[in-house]
Parts: sequence; C-alpha cells; structure tokens
Amino acid sequence: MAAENLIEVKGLKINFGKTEAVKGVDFCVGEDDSVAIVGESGSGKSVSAMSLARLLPPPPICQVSGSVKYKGEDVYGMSAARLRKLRGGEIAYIFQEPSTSLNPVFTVGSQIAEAVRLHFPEEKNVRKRVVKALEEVGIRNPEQRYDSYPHELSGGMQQRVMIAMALSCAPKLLVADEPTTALDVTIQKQIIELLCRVRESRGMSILLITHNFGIISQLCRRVIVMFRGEIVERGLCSEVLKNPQHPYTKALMDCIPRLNDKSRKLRPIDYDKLK
Amino acid sequence: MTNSSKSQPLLRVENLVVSYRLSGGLFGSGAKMFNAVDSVSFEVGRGEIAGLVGESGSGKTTIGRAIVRLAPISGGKIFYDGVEISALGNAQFLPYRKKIQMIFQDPFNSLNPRMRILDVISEPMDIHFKQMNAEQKREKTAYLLERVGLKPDFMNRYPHEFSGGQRQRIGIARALAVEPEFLICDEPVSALDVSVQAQIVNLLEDLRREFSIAMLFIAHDIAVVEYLSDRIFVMTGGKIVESGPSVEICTNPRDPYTKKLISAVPKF
Repeated sequence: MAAENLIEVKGLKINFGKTEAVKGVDFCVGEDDSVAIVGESGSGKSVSAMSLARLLPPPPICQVSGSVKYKGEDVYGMSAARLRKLRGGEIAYIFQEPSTSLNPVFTVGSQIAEAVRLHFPEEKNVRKRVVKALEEVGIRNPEQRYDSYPHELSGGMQQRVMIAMALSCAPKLLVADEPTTALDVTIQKQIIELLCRVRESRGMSILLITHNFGIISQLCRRVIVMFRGEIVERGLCSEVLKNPQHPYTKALMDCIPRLNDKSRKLRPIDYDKLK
Repeated sequence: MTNSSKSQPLLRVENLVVSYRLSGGLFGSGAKMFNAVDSVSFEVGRGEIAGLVGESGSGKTTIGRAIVRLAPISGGKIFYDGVEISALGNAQFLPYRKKIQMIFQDPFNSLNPRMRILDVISEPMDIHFKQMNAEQKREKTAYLLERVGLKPDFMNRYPHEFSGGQRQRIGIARALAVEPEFLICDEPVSALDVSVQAQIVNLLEDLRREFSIAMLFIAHDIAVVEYLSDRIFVMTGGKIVESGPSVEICTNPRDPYTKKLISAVPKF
C-alpha cells in the first residue's frame, strides 16, 4: 500500500442547480497508483475528476461540497496562486477530443512552451524541453513538429501532443478523461501503451476516466465503477473484471462485443431492473 | 420486387477508384493524385450485412460516400440490382437515393438543429412520397419513432433535446422513412457509450430481420463489425486486403493488417 495518498476525496457532492451529478463519493489515489473510474455518460465520473483541480464552474452554476485533499491540503481552500501551481504542475489533465483541446492558431510547440514557462519561469531553454517532451511521447522529428499547427497532425498525434503538454510540467497525477474514445482502435492501443510506459518511467499516478471496461486492465491496478452519481463497486481490476459483484458492473460488461464470441447476445443495460 | 433475378447481388462494386488532387498542376496537368480508394471490388447480397473495417484514412468511409454520390468517382463501376448506377445522370439516379440510405457517424452534426424531429424525418418523404398528405406523414413519423424505440410525441421537439443515442435513433428513423433496401451505416456507433452502442447494434439487427434490409456497416472496431456482419472486408491504404465470412476472418486472419486490427481489440 502506498504510504501517503495524493488525492483524498470524502463525501464529494456535486450539484448543477437541482440536478445531483455526484451524490457523496469517497475515493483516493495514492502515489505511484493507477485508478480507473468507469461509468456511462451522466454517471458523474468526469465531473468528479474535474473537481480534483477545481475545474468546475463556480457557484451558483455548480455547487461542490465534501472535501477534496491533495497531499493533505484542502483544494477548495487554496488561494488562486496556489491553484495555478496545482493545475498542470501537480495535477495535469488530458481530455477526450484532442482537436478541440488545442488552439488552432498556435503551433503545438508554442502551446506546450506556454505551460512550461508558466510552471518553470527559471527554465532557460524552453524549446529544448518541449522538444524532449514531444520525443518522449513518441512523436517522430520532434524538432520539426514543434512548428506544426494542430490541423497538420492526425488525431492520434494530437493526443500525443496533449500528453506531452501534460507531462512537460512533471505532474504527480495525470487525469486522463476518455483519452482514446475519439481514436481508432489501433491508435487507442498505442496511446494506452504510451500511458503505461510514461507512468512506469516517471512513477506518476494515473486516474483514467472511461466508459469502456476493455481498456482499463492494461493501464490500471484499481477500478471504481460509478452509476448515477454513486460508486457501486470498487476493487482490483483483475478481480472486478473476472468476478463483478454489482449487477450494474455485470451489465456494463455484457454490452461490449468481444471477438470470436458471436453467439453471445449483446445485452443493453436494463435500467429498470437495476433500481 | 424488381424483375431482376434473385441470384445477383444487390450491390456490386467493380474496381472503384476515388482520387483527389494533392497539389500542383493548376489546370489539372501534372497534378499529383491521391487514390483514397484504389481499385476496390466487392459485392453485398440481398438482406446481407457486410462489414467494412479499417482505420481512419483507409478509404472505408469514402466508399460508402461514393455509392450515394457524396464523393466523386474517378474510375470503376457501381451496379445496384443489375443497373450500373455510376453511369446514370442525376435525375435517373433519384430513385436510387430512395433505395439506398445513409446513417452517419456523428449524431450531433447530422441533424439540422433548427428543424423539429417531425420535419427531420418527414423531409425525405416530401421528396420520395409526394402523394402523402401531412396527416399521413405525421402518422408515419410516429410509427418510425416508435419502431426505433422512441416516443411518438418526440416529433415536436428539437435535436438539442436528445442524447447522442436518441439522436442516432432519429437518424435511423430518417433513413427508414423512405423504405430503403440498402443502408450504408458509416461508423454509426463509434461516438456512443458502450451500453448505447449495444442498443443501436441490436436495433440494426432487428431492422435487418424485420425489413430484410441489406447493410454496409462501416466501422474501425472489428469486434463490433464481427458481431453484426455476415461477411467482412478489411481495408487499409485504399485497398481491400482480406475478405470472407466474419467468423473466419476473426478466428483465422491471414493478412498481417487484419492480425494487427484484431490484436488491438482490448481483451478482458
């Protein structure tokens, strides 16, 4: 067991007006840990992840209650200056759609450089550091690619740029919110392998948010299953995947087509049965 | 049913080429051409679901679009029910626009946000069923919505009021509105959550059984394609590299690219 928890969430509730998106959840992410939150659209998994670095809109649009602690420090009591250091510097995010996360009018290199300058103002050779980050995520000719615009890169390459940007500031925790949903299966495999590699080489923690059980086992040690704003099951990936306990977890696994198993009928989730 | 023989395939594509000009050659001379689809031939039988699988850029979407003239054909022939539809003029092609319908990947961009669902679904009827009056169109829209698993009174709402899966159902209802024989499904489930994906896949399967509609099911996830299709065509770089019954392709792939696609499917 990890000595200290990077993230500790207790009794987290997130409301948008009268809509309860998250209804009181507890979870933690340790150092050198890898956790997946699995659930469908509307299960509250993304907003839970965004609350960790206070990325949600301020009240009255969105009310967050409960406690979120980063290394024992209350995230919701942080000053603006401390938050700026936390975001990107300690908790970095990558999102689902790389093409909308990148600014189309700046080169990808300059966008990564912006993050580096903000978090490492003393850095002399920013370009060199950015090129190194691009190289680490497996982009060929990083020196030339520095000056490419986002539209010149494929979706998989854009996602690599997003990962390079996230890693460039050496975060302790990488939150990957559906990082492969917009990508082809072959590219998805490459991106998951890349995340595995950088996680191991850096000893960084990963919180993976996804709706697809298929991609978690390679990358994550633990899994949390969310349904309608609540955690319905949690445990080691190996155990939950082999022997799911909650009916929702089973239902979610039953609706994924598997190869060479044509006889098995796909079963969409029967929500009436679950409640 | 037309007078054509039942033995011939519904759709036959022969040496289809779709090319785009890359650069140079202002008046077309000396321009570099890129073949997005490079001499592809295949057939789809009546009531059959054929899967076309490949990565982004493999040309699979372009084939689907070329069949319904959303992409320009540079070479080859397309036969539908024995008729060479690639040689027809636009007016002569009109009846085939009714027979061949398309379902698109992105349910958010394929519905006009300013049209009510009734108008979205009944617009194709305005063109292909001119004899229908407003009340008949409304009734048919209600039936179609119910058939794809939505409430008939949804017809008075606008697209933004629906989730991704519901919008995809609306897109399917629109395609069914003109009673097609052939559906081109271009990545219809890639943008959806897994549970919604399963609902849509099952819906397509039911529709095939009920209306015996043939389908060209285009996707990048070979597991979904295997589940739904009778036969699979594997595409990469504009060419079909392997084809055969879906079970055979997935249990005993021969082409290295097919093997790569299969190994990319997450296992758990």
